[in-house]
Amino acid sequence: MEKPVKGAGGGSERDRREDGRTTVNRRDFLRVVAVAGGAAFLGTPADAEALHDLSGWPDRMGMLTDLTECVGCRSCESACNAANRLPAPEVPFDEKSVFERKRRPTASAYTVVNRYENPKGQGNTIYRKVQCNHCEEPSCASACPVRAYTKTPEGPVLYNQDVCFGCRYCMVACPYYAPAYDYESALEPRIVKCTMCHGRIKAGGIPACAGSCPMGAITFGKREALLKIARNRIRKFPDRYVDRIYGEYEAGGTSWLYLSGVPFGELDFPTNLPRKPIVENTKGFLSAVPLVLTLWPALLGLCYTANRNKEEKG
Amino acid sequence: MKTKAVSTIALCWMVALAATLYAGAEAPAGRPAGSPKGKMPGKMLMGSLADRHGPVKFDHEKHVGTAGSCDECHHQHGGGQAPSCGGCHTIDASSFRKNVHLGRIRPCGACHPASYDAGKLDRPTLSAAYHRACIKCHRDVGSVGSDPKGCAEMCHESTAQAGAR
Repeated sequence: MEKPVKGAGGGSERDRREDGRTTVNRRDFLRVVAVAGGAAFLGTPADAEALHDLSGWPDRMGMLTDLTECVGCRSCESACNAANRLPAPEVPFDEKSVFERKRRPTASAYTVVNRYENPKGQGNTIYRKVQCNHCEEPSCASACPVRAYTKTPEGPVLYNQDVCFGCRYCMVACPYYAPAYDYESALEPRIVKCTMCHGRIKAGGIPACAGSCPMGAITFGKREALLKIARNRIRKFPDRYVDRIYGEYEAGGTSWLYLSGVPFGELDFPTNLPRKPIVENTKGFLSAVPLVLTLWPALLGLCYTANRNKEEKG
Repeated sequence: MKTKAVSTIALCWMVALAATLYAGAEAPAGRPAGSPKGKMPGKMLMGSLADRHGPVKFDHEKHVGTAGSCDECHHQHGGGQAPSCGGCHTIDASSFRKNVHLGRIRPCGACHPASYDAGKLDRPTLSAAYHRACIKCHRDVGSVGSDPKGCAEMCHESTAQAGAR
């Protein structure tokens, strides 16, 4: 039972990989479950740890995508493919026929660019880059039964394949349809999504897509700084942008922020998301689950035993 | 006396007309109004950032004729929101030459960082500044964006890597 799962080397309970991701072994996971159960028993919300107080991470990074600058060259897709050593695409990256249908990220493409006709009827064609938005309070992480997702202090939300058993709740939970399932790897379940190039960030670099964008449409920096920049652009060019920074508040906010010249709903951005984190909706229910699972069987068992004893005596 | 005055005026007119014609002949055809006199770059090879694509063969002279005004590309006045040259320089050509000269046109790299600079997040990198300056117009006339014409066909010489991905 105590044999560590792969990835946690040297028998240490917690190990840090070269890319900075934390691996969790089985013992660690069981401890979390036990603590959560105990906390529930004592009346503390079980997911207290899932709800970070992000004010302690003022330097967390973000990305600002200015959709008015994107020209759909797909350099970001190409750079992402190279940085993550993904398989070569079926059609080359300078091929524009891919825009004929709307795509979503897959196991072999962490980011995709989609094309939209300008709803104003005139002006430039609009392109929208799609990838994991790295939520401030990620619902994938709250939905994951085995804590395969981690919100890092640097900003990116990371996924750990070593504990994943392939339930794909994260895919259902994500309001942005970001996590993709690797259907080629059924025996070793694997979710695939953008990592915001966490390894590069830790090494002092910038994400591959941001570094490759020839138009400077993707800006990497501290989230707080990017919000100021975005607000400033809206203030300076009110005719160019709609007065909204997508990702500032959506579902508790995301690391990825967007500026657009047309309403975000026209570009398939979900616009019905609450301002509070989605995890808040399930917090009450989920915190009761360990309580029900631990306390109720004990109580019912006690009643049953008491009744049986009574019957035997009677 | 009266005849002398008329002939003087006529002479002045002729001189002025000749000067105007001469000035017109001096300025290259299609030069934007108010553009600084002097030698401007002709054809240039812009390759300081060439990496995945080859350097851009840029015909400055041709663009001087089509752009309409210098600040379509050179925007160092006003921090990116430059008015047209004439917006500030409402002076005649000779004093314009004295006050504004080609030396003031600073290279783009003087302000735009060649690579990522965390301290200048809202200033486009040199590469982005170049691309924005070109694509601002070329997007509409059929290149990147509206018309599926690739980077290599439009501006950049194709390199070995350019075709690969």
